[in-house]
Amino acid sequence: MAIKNLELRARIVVEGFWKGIHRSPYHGFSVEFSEYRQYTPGDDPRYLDWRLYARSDRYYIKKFEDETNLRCFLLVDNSRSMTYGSLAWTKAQYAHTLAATLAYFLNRQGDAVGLLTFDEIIREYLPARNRPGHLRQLMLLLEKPAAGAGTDINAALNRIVDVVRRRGLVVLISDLLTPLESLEKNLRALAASGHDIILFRVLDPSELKFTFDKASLFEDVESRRGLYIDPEAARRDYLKRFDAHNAAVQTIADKIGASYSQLGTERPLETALFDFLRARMERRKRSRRSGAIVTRGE
Amino acid sequence: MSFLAPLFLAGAAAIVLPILFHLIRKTTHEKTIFSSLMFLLPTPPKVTRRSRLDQILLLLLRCAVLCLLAVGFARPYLVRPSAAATPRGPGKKVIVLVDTSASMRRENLWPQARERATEVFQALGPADEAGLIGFDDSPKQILAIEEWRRAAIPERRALALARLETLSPSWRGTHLGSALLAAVDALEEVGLAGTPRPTLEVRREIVLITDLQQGSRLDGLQGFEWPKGLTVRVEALKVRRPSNAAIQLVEARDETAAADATRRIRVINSSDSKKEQFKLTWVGATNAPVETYVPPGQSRMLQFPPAISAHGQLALIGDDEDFDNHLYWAGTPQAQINVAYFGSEAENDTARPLFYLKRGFQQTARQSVQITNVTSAPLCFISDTADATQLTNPTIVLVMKSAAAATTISKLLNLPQLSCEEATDQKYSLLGDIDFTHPLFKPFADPRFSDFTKIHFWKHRRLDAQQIPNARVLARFDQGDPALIEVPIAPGEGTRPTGRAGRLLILTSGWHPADSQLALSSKFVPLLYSLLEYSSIQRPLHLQFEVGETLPAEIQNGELKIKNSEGVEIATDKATDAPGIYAAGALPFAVNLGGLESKTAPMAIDELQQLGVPIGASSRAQTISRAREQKFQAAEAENQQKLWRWLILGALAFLLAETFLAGRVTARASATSP
Repeated sequence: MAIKNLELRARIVVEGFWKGIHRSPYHGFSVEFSEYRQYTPGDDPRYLDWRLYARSDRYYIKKFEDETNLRCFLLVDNSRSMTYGSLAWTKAQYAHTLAATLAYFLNRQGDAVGLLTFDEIIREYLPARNRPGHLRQLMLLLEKPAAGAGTDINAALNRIVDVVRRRGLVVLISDLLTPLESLEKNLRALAASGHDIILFRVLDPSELKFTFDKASLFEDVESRRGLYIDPEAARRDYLKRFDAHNAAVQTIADKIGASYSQLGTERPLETALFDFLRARMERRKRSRRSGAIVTRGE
Repeated sequence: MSFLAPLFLAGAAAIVLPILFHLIRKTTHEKTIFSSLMFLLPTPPKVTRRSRLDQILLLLLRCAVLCLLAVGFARPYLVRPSAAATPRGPGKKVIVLVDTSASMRRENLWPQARERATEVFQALGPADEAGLIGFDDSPKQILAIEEWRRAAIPERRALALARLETLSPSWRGTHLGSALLAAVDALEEVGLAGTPRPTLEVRREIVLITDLQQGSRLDGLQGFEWPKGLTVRVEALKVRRPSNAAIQLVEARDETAAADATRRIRVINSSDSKKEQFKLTWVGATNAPVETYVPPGQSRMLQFPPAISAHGQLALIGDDEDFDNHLYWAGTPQAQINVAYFGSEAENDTARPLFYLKRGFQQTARQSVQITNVTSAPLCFISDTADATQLTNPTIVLVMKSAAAATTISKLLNLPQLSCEEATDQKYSLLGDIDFTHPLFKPFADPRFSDFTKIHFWKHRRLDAQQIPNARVLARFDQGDPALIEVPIAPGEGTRPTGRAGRLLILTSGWHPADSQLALSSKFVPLLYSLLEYSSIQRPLHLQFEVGETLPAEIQNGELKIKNSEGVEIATDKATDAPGIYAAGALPFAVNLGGLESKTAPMAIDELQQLGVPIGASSRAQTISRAREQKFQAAEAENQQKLWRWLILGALAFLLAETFLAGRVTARASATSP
């Protein structure tokens, strides 16, 4: 986080990751065979597998994964609660770096990356593209400071559902410090549109552990509401309620098949990127497995 | 030690605060910014887990400062035995004047009165002297101061209370004026007869315990010079429900009404009454009650059909007080009176005296006068020509229609022929010199009625009264001739038989129009009735009495036994002690409550003050003034002692010590903390 330039920061993360990835057991993100499907009139004859036809005298369409055309949307929470940080950097800075890293990474792969920042309203929206200069524009938007007083994830999710018709990947980067009543519903709607969903929850270590010791007036950074809190007395209750909230988020993610990872801001970003990729891989495996079953069933 | 403003002592409760502050963990005003309070609940300031106080000395100093301030503000002073608190000199003299009139029968007035009187006696010191007087329409000494003085000191109070027990409300009216004067007399007599007290003036007090009703009579107080050093303390008793209405018989003495005429009843509502609707009914009658509406402070007249029997009881329903709601009525039987007239005259001849005489004696409900020629009638009139030799009537009135009537006088009085002539020198004569001391003219003695100058006498006969022995001229004409002469007739004198005395009244003129205007004047009928009375004809009995009224001799003659409404025989002097229908022999008579007693609205004490009564403060006002005096003395003592200054100084000293100590503690704490 010592590097001020977000793009540079992202590049360093990604390149460092590239180096490590060579030794990774997961490799190969090329054009990949997906499945065979029987030809039906109207299919593009270009995709006919002539070799198979030669062998079996049947028309098969060879399907490939729509890999290069991945559209990824980064949903970044830009509310004021994200400006909190007990370390040298804030949650927002961490989240922006994460978003920039992912964008840079995907851009290098040739994928289209879009951005949507939100607080209690939607602040910035950048459609997913893969043009030269797009990444630069995205970085500029990410560098805007957090301003909003509240957090309304639902508005952002609804907007994505409305705007993005094509299937894609939706990455939600937020501290998720909001009530969860309608989060599940909106995420489910998003999943139902065929999007893959990855949830990154960015949290400060003091939020995770509640590492305060002095009793004082605690002020909500968003609502400016104050409460007199004695941490010694309140810690146990806080952790209990925090864990319950976290568990609820995990449950929601499990229900809709999203991958969920909680990132403390003290963690290196590479691990976050690793989590992202692992989630992608798992997803891919899962979909491939289900695709094979479908094929056999036919 | 006492306090002038003890409420400030409550400020000492503030020492709880430093104790609490010492117990509470030190809190800061630091703010901690946090991302979200959604997982946090407010935690109250926590009291130290160790129930041990830190910095005991500091705490004690702070508490001491607060205590000293609180005590200082409460303005303490040291009580010194005050000289005024202990009574000095001789005791006072008190006359307790208790109202026992009928209005004291209302609600709980009598228990209240007894309670107040008891309080007065209880409050008396050993040197005090007291007497008790009860009063209604007259004062009655229940306990004389002499008796009090004679009794042993410890027994005096018991004696007074025992005498108080003997009192009870009567049915009589209230004469407050005479009662106050009697109380003054009682005190003054003691002042004369008592042991001399040369050094100090003895305080004298009349404690008046009464309902102070408007119907109290205050006559006698006007112009009375009250002795110095005497005060009247009025303990006015009050009722919770003041509504009171009363009924009175109006024109009970009306002599012109027919026997079966309706009764006129007056319904009076007290001025402080809360009710306005009342009902009247004859007790025992089946008729529906008569309803009436009387606003407070006003009265209404009602025409009421008479009772079925000759006597009855009329009841008023609808007010709060029952004591004056009954009106007893006894009908008066009509008396038959015979008056003789001797003369050769036609009854309807308007030119003759008989015509006017008959009309002069009107038939009334209570008496009926018959003009006869019976010689035994107590009163007889003779016009000039009658033969007077047979007359034995006690009173004979001779109307001289002509000078010839002198012969009749001579015959009646057995005298030689009297000289008499017609007076002709003036056109008319007036009555000049009238002897108003004579019973016949006594009713006219009042200047309002004594004007006889409107009666013109056209003719009269000049008769010299000197000719008749023992003659007394009762009235003369303006030129000096006698108009009316009275001559006593001794038994056996003249034609009179032995043993029967009588009198002769000679009127030297007549009342018929030819002689005078007398028959047409307003004096004629009263004069006739005066004559009836003078002839000792028994007046018709008036059978309506008020409580306490003396019964007439006809009833109170000792021969008739008087029974009350229950038929129990009672002593004559007790006959009018309570309202009701009594019977004297077979004759019923009614006794009613005095009309004034129904005026139960309370009178303003100012009225007494206007009459010069030296009103002192009531017991309640005395208590208040005593409390005020004590407060004043306390303020004075506090002002002299000024203990608060020392307390404030002490508080400042403690405060300095606290500041010093706190500074040291803080310095030590900051030195030890990293």
